[in-house]
Amino acid sequence: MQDTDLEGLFAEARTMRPSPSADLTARILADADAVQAGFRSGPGVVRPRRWSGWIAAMGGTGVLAGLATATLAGLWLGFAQPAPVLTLTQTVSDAFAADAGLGAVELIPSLDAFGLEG
Amino acid sequence: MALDALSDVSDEALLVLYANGDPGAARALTLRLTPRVLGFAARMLSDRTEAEDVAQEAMLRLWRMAPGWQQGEARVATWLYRVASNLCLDRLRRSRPRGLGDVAEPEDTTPGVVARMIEADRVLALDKALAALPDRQRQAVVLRHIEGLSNPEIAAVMDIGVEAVESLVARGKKGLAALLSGRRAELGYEGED
Repeated sequence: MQDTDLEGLFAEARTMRPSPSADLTARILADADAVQAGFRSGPGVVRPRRWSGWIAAMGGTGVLAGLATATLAGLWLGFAQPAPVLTLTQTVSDAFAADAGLGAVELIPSLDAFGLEG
Repeated sequence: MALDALSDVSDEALLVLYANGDPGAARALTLRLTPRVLGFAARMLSDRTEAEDVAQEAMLRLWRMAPGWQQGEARVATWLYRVASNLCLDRLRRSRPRGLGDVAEPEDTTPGVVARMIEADRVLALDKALAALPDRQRQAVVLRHIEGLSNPEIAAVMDIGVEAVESLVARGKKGLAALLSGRRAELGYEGED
């Protein structure tokens, strides 16, 4: 076989590549999509972490959740003024007032003179 | 990006686009590169099914390494051939002997029925002769004369020197000539042998 014959064979072989089946192409593209989705959320992706140090310093998200709950409860108690709280306050005040001699307490009697407008 | 808008974009640029989340880059790369890696693997393994597995695995490794691709260092195709070569050689080492009958069917692209038949027969004869060569000679010859890589590129794929590539190609072609001699008339060649 001459060298030119071989070159001719090679040239024909170059035009005759097996075509990828639709199934193979679909599998390769599915792999590409899956890997690319991993780029968006995987460990190699750098995400903004402005709050992560602050959160860790506060004790973590669990602690923050408890803090948030307590804060909201306090806010609710302040705004809503549920009856049991008012009742408790009133009861304590009345108890003090009812106790003899505790209506108005003069803390520093010697200062009375200074209360007069001159 | 629309697929036709990507036709002038280099393999490397497409890979960078893919790594940055472009939805069309993977398809463009797949259509461009899969025929090449499949054709190469088919001629290395003489087994269409095995060749498809190698092609899929090689492309999967390409997708995975895309974010780490160092621009300007190598051609994407060269990298892909190298991965496919190693996958093929691993399979060849694991499974002996390999079937010579299940060669990839050549894609019919020539005009004229008779001419097509003759060409297809000749390419089939070439593929069978290639399958009979030692693995590294076959690899060098296919990469050089069918896949169209330069000797330095083949050296990078095979991790050998350029002179070693030239030697493998020369010995491979000599082997092919010997295997195919005496079949010239049968293969449609005219004139003296």
